[in-house]
Amino acid sequence: MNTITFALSITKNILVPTLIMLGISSVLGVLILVVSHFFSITHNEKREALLDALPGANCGGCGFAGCDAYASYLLKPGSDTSLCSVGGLACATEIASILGTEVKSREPKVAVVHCQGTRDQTQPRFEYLGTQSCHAAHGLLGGFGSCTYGCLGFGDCIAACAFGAMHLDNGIVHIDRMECTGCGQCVKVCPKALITLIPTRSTVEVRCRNEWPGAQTRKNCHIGCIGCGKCVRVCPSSAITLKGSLAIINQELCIHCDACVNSCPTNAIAYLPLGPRPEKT
Amino acid sequence: MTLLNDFHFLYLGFHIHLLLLIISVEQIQGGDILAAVHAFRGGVHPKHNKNTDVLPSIKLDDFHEVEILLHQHIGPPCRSVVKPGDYVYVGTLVGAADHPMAVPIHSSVSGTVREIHYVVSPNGNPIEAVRIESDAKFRVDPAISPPHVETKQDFLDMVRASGMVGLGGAAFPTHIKLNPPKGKEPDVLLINAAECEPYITSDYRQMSEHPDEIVDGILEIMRWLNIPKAIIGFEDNKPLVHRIFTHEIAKRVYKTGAKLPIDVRSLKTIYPQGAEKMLIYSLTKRRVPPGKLPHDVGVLVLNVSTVRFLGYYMRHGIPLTRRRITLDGSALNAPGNFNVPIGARIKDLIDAAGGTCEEPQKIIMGGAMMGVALDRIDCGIIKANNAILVFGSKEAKIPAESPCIRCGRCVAVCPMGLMPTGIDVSTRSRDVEGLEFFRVMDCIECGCCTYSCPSKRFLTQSIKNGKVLVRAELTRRANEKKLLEESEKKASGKEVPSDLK
Repeated sequence: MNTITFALSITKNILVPTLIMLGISSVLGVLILVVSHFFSITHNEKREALLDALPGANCGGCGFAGCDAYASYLLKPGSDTSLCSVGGLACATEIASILGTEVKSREPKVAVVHCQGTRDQTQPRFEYLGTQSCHAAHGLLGGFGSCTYGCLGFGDCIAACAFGAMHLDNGIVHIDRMECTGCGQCVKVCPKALITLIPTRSTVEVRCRNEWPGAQTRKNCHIGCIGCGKCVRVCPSSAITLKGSLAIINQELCIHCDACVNSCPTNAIAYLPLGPRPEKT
Repeated sequence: MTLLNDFHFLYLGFHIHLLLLIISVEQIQGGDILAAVHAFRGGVHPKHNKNTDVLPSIKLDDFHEVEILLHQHIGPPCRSVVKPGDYVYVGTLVGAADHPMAVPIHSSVSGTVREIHYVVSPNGNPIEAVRIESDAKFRVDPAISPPHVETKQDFLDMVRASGMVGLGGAAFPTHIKLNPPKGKEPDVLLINAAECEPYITSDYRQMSEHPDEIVDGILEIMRWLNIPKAIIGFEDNKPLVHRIFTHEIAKRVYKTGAKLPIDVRSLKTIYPQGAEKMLIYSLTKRRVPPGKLPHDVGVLVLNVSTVRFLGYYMRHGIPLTRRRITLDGSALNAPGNFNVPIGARIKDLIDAAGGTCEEPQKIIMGGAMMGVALDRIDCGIIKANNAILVFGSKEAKIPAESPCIRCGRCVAVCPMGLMPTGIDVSTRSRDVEGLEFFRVMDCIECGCCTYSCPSKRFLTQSIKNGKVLVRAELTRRANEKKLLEESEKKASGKEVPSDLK
């Protein structure tokens, strides 16, 4: 009797739940199989490889919304493989090897701020109490500084930089060339269009973008370009031109002789803070 | 029970009386008074501060010199056509440009050109300005005569030659506005006499002092543009406007015997009643879709001062060289309306208005809600400048921002039906998709949200910044599209590998 009761209890308490569990799990297992078959994502191995090759910074420097969007674009025939400025030559080579195309690369570039008008070089024109952002300050009479072309120093570009390569010092923005990848996000956000991308090999630049006549520039900023044209005359490779009262260096023609730096009466033409960024390999 | 029924009848009788009253008032007014009741959605009620509306405008001529900016309209700047040392009359051309959007600029005094120099324009760029020393004689250019108009093209050329821009504050070239694209000819002319900004009364003085020229101007535009109907819309805090215009129209009807198709309609006093889209909705119940212009819904909107100047120009032929301007604010001794030559320095105007009684903390060009603060007071006034407000320390105080309390007041007052608080959050987190979701580009920047915010958040500035972000994203998308198209063009000749399909 005891044995029969014992066997029954085992059946009731152990076997039945086990069978129920087994049943549920097998139903769920079949469901998973069905779902994974009908809802599966087709993997493109090239796409995965491209995503691995790209830096994954999602900075938007290539012009696409992020690395993922750029990888989708790369899969299309006839795509430009040299758009990633962050990865540089190494990334371009890897992409080319994945896609089986020839290696194309762009000249590595860095961003440079064309303004040296620190707080001690310029004076404020009025007190600005609005939103602490460059675009808002620019909207009110072109900013509060004596120079209406100068850096406003609220750091819209710093917020846009995905690499922490920019910092604010004494009222203007500085770029750390070792960190800058030349993605150009800061170029797009600057309301004053003060930031440009130049080749990493360049050593000098006119660090001013003001278009006021020379006499007014003198009053606005101690270190602005007054358009005297000395640099244009001394440049042996005629790389410098005058646009109104502002000197502009064509970095393609520059031979790094530094004659312009020595001739500039206001020090508006200056050496760039650090040497060229070493190419990552 | 019977008592209750009696009450019911009493109520019913009261309602019938009210309805009859409304209908009779409507008949007296000549327009539908219900339009005044139904305005656009949202809006705020800032204190009117129309302190200067009963003061007749004072003509000021006693200026030693004027500084005329060569960029007083939306569009490319003019270049100077005079040299230092030249003698100019009132109405002599000093700035011109060939671009179709450009409007010529004329001298507002007679005297000698002293200097052509650069000054800071409102967007920060250097801009040419002509400094003319006045000989205080105000001799009108002998070449000036009333214009002779025969065709519509003559009329448009004349409007351009007069140097006319929208005098309400936007400075949009009027000859462009009067010439809408083919197939979009307006069927109604709206005259914006709302003047919804606090403090400003220059349009009101214009209407009180020159109703004949305003009606002249309206009739000329209706005649040459072939518009059958005109409506003058004014806010009901200026009840005299109705009497002024009905009187003026009645005079003409009596003279000619023909009925004039000009309607004078009162609007609810609420800011921003004078904004283009709101005015169109309040007067015609037409909605201007986002990104579209009034001529897309068959409407032409002109400011009352612009129309008045047209009437004046048709009579005398003197270009836009003077305008009415309101000087007000707590720091001024004697606020008022002044009829001044364009280019008169603000410093001189403040002296003419009795000087200041306390150190001015903030000087605003334009209205208190939408005007721009100035950084200097030695600049000359421009064509679109309807007020100078000189604020003392109490009015100029900018309260500190505090966190959003999610009360929704900004949402309730937004006349465009937007969510300023959502836009603010999206701007601060640089969320472009969020900004597009909240339709940031539809904002008309009227400032109602900032005005109503109990946390004193800078919502309008935040929205302006948001628009910049969206514009940058739109450029990026256009570039991306171009890249994709280029790659497709390159690949079009080649065979597509099978694994990339």
